[in-house]
Amino acid sequence: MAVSSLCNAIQERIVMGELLDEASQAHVLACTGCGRLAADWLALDSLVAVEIDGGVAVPDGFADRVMASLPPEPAAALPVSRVESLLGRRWVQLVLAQVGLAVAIANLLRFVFSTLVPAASLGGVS
Amino acid sequence: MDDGFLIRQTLSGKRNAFRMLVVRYQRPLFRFLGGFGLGQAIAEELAQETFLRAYRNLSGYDADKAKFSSWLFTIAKNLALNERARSHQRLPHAEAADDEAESPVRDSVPSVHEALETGERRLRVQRALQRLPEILRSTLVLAYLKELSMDEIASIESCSVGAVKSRIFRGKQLLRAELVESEDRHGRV
Repeated sequence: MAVSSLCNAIQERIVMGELLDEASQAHVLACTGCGRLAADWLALDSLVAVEIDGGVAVPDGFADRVMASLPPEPAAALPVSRVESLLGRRWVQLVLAQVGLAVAIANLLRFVFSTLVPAASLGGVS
Repeated sequence: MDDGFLIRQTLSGKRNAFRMLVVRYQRPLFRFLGGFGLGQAIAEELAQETFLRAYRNLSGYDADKAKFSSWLFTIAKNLALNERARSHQRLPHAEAADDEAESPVRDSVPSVHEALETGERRLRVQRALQRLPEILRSTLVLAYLKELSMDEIASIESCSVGAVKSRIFRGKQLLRAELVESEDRHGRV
């Protein structure tokens, strides 16, 4: 049972492509099941690694091409984005909304008391 | 020089710092895009677009949320998935033709020796990778890059480390089954 759980642990690491410590490597060499599985998965890993490594290549001058395609002033956007990020915060939006509401109510009251009420008292509003 | 320093330098207007980031990540990025089965020309286009988007949005990058490499690969992954979706729309019923169209082997024009030695085998591996479900292929390719930790892959894939391990295992199982089947069909791998 102990051997089986050791095999399971080692085989899991083999499948995940993790490096094995020396004791585990010795076990793989001694254990037929683990040895077969290791050979199998290593062959698969090497096939896929070759494909990924050889699939596409970085062309000469690629970094130059990228740099030529960049906008001239990247950092200029930084202060603007800070303001944007500040305005995007919920508490800032709530404060601005409250201030806006207070100003609107004050304007309404000012209109009522400075225009409507005096006009009504003079008989201008029916 | 670590990524954080180079990013700060770039944001303060030193473009050469970004060049160093490009040079540092261009190779793993191309390997990643190649693993997606994208051809040379499309991989170049997407890699360039990845760096361009990273540059444009660098001020919004939050180092506390993800490593720069994870952020960069997330951009590349999204671009690659969009490109694949577009190419599938262009050729909805022609899987074989799609495989041919996206073949890096075709684009990279291998030498005769290369073609004889490895061309057929690579094509089979490539097709086996193409047949993997998108979610498994992306995780598997990231794992094969050997450049990223499990945590970083989990961050790119927006899943747990456990899910990453599970996807790698399932992906390799499917890949192996596909290659064994291919071997049976062709007599060798």
